[in-house]
Amino acid sequence: MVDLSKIPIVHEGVILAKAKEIIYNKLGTNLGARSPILQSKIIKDKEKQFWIVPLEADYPRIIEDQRTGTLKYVIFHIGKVGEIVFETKKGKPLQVPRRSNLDYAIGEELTRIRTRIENLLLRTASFQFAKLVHMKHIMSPLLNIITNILKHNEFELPDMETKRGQNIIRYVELLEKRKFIHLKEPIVYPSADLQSLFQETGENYSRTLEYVLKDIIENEYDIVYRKYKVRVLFPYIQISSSYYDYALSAQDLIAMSEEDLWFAYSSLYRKFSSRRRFRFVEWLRELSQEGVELLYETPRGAYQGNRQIFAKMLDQFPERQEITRTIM
Amino acid sequence: MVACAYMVLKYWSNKKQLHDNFPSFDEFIPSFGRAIKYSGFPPNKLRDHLIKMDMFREVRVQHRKSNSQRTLEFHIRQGVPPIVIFDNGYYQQLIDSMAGHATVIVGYTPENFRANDPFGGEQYPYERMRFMDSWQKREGRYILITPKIHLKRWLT
Repeated sequence: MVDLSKIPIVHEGVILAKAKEIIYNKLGTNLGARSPILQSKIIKDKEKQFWIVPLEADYPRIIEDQRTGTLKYVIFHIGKVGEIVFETKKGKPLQVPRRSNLDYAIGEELTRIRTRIENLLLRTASFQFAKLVHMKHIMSPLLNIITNILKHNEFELPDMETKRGQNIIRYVELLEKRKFIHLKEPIVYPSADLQSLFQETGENYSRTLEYVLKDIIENEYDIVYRKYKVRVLFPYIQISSSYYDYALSAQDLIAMSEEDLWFAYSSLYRKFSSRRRFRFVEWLRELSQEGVELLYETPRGAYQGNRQIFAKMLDQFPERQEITRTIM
Repeated sequence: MVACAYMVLKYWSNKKQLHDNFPSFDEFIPSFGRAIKYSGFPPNKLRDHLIKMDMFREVRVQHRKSNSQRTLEFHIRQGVPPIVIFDNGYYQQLIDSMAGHATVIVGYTPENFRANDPFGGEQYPYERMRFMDSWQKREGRYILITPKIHLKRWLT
């Protein structure tokens, strides 16, 4: 075996400079090179040395706060997204990652953060989502079951062979899973939990239904979305999540203009259609209507978040401060 | 980076050194297509994208390095605003960041460099010493964009 320590190698400073040159020429300004690491590998029974330069990314975001008219410059520290491999004799680059792969890695990390915020918002603001008129409308079979069993203390399932019967049973299964009902086929009974909830709300049907919906959104949203294909809630979650994503990255309850919020939503979720843009204003109105109040419209026509929701989310996402830095 | 390039080209257009019908920023951006991605824009590809627009075919893009404040002052005195790439995270908070920030240097005072900054706005003051340190974090890179008509001045 050759003694590698006796073979002269290119100095790590030279390798780092070469890596920076590659970044400037081919890759992009949001990437940076960390100190090279010397590694040896056995290739075809020969031990060879390589300089590995880890590539890390920071993703900047500029946020305009309409309250103060100031801009905030936020940086997401994405971490390692790839590496450049150099041979050690002359410092020739052997492997340079494709730009598309680096973009994919950064995009994946940003999506991971986005999903985390979405889930956090779903848990934190499920009661607000339950109050949306569209949500109540689309979940009306479930609400009908609850109203029936609360009124009559039982509800007989329809013929399971029919389409209506099949439609109802899936909601019954969901309610049973969440322990709101007991099923002794073909009769459905309210559970003790549901009855006590009804008592607690002063036998208020609307309020009880909202609490049931809240519980389902909070705990079973994935099933409702994937299995039952109830997608009506999606734009509401995405739009409000876009706001809270920006607010959390700025670590402040910022106010965003409609245009900035549209930009945030369309770029975070890759939704650019003019149809969506047309409906966007109505979605915003519903999100800021009384009772829902996931957003508030300011007198100047900008949108600001709900203070309690923001505080809870900030509390539950402490590592956010490690991911993002507000520079200015 | 792209916004800075636009600012410099607009400057030359205002000096009547580029053809008329200067594009709006919204018309300018598409020539960069999908090149502006999460990883940022590779500065060395700037000219490749500029020449996609007929009116910028005669533009010269030079990528340079320097470690001297005088270099920047010289270019400003010559009326060629340099686009400087520096570490804004380091400038603002002394934190090493991976993301480079581009700004157009348009003037200077004994204490500051004045920049038309895509983020900071017009005549944004960058304190000299801190700016030099953050600039050197990016190997003192800067870009000059000049119309060829301007270069002829040196030849005649």
